[in-house]
Amino acid sequence: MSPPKPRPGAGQGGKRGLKGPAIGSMLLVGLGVTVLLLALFAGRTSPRGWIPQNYTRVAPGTYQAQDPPLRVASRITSRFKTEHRVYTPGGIFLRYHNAVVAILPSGRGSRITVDDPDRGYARYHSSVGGAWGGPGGRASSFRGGGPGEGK
Amino acid sequence: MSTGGGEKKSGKGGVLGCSIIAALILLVVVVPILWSMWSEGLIDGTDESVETAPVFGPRDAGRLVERLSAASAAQGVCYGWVIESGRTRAIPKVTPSYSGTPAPMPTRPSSPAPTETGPSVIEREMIETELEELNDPGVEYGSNLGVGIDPRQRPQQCPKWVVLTADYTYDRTGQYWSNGYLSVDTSSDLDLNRYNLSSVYVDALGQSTRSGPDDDYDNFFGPHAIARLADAISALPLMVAEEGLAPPPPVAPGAEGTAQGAPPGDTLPRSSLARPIFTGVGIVLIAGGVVWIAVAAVRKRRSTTS
Repeated sequence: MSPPKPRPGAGQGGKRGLKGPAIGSMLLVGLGVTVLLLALFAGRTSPRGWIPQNYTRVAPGTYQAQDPPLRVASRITSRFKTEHRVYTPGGIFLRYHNAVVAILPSGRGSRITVDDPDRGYARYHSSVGGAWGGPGGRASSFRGGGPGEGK
Repeated sequence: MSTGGGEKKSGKGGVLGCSIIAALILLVVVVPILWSMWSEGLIDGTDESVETAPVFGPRDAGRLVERLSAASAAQGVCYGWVIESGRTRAIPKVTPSYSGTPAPMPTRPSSPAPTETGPSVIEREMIETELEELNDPGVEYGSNLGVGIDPRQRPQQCPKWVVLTADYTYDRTGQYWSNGYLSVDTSSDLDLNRYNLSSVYVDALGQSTRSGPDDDYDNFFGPHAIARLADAISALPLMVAEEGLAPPPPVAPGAEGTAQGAPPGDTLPRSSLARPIFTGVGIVLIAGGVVWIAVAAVRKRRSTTS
């Protein structure tokens, strides 16, 4: 009785057949995990929990700092990168994905308010309107026609 | 013969897999890069208007003048800006558009009253030289007194002044600012220079131009250069108050907790679709990888058992 002939595609051929898909699927999964992590976590930073731990609460959503506004803003922005920001003589406004932080002059120090984005936008519209949003959600201020920004 | 057919089949599967991976990489990596290049104006040819467009348009210039005007009236200090944009063509002067009336408020007389001493002869000569440079092509300037007015041109009206100068290097090929430098000059009676003001100010704004791993690229010549420049100009009154040289400027409306409200339809931009789209792409890629290896394993098992 002669030994059975090896089936085409089995043995070495079969191993080779699984090696390609294994490498391909690993690449695919690796790429997918990278894209997913970037999509979920990239740029998601906010001082919303940090501010109550570092400044004195004087009212709901309002805090007092002993330092003047520029120093407070510098401290916050060095720790938490803003999505957008606006500096005006009357205060500094920082926008994060879940908060609008306003740092306002108050005596020799600052008053800090923390609002939800929509409420903060409405509250400080005279300062940030046009820069962060506008009719239909389109910002128009300080976007420039010169060389400073994209067209 | 059948062995050759299996290899052929296996080869076809490999080619198909590679094609899928190449297509996905194209979709996930190349398309967003091309999109961002297009949106930045890097692949749509040269635009002559960029060579002559004012940095601040009518509304932005009006907004700056109004903000500085209100602070100047409260503090008795004039605030101005000079932008040396690095371009060689003449930039037309902007007629600012104001949100309300009146437009620029008169500056409150300084308290105490301005001294009769004023700048020395040498300082006056230096100021005159700088004022002559305002006529150079590519230079734009303004102040709380309006666009095209430098506070140093009105010494009677502005005995105390602070002027921020932004000096840019312009890349004509790419039509963008490749570098930038800020400096802050003041009248001699404000005497702020001892603080090495410019670097202190830049650091305070959190917009340092230093390079390094912690570099904040959203600076004066970064992707939002004009907004950052407006920030630097608008924050001058805060800095003067911080140094104790003037009272704090009026606090922004809305500080008392009463929401002013935005006009109907004026909202923040809705959340970008990019995040959910890329989340979906990530999930599809992972699922595709799992399905691919599962199908290959089932096929192999079938082929070995049959």
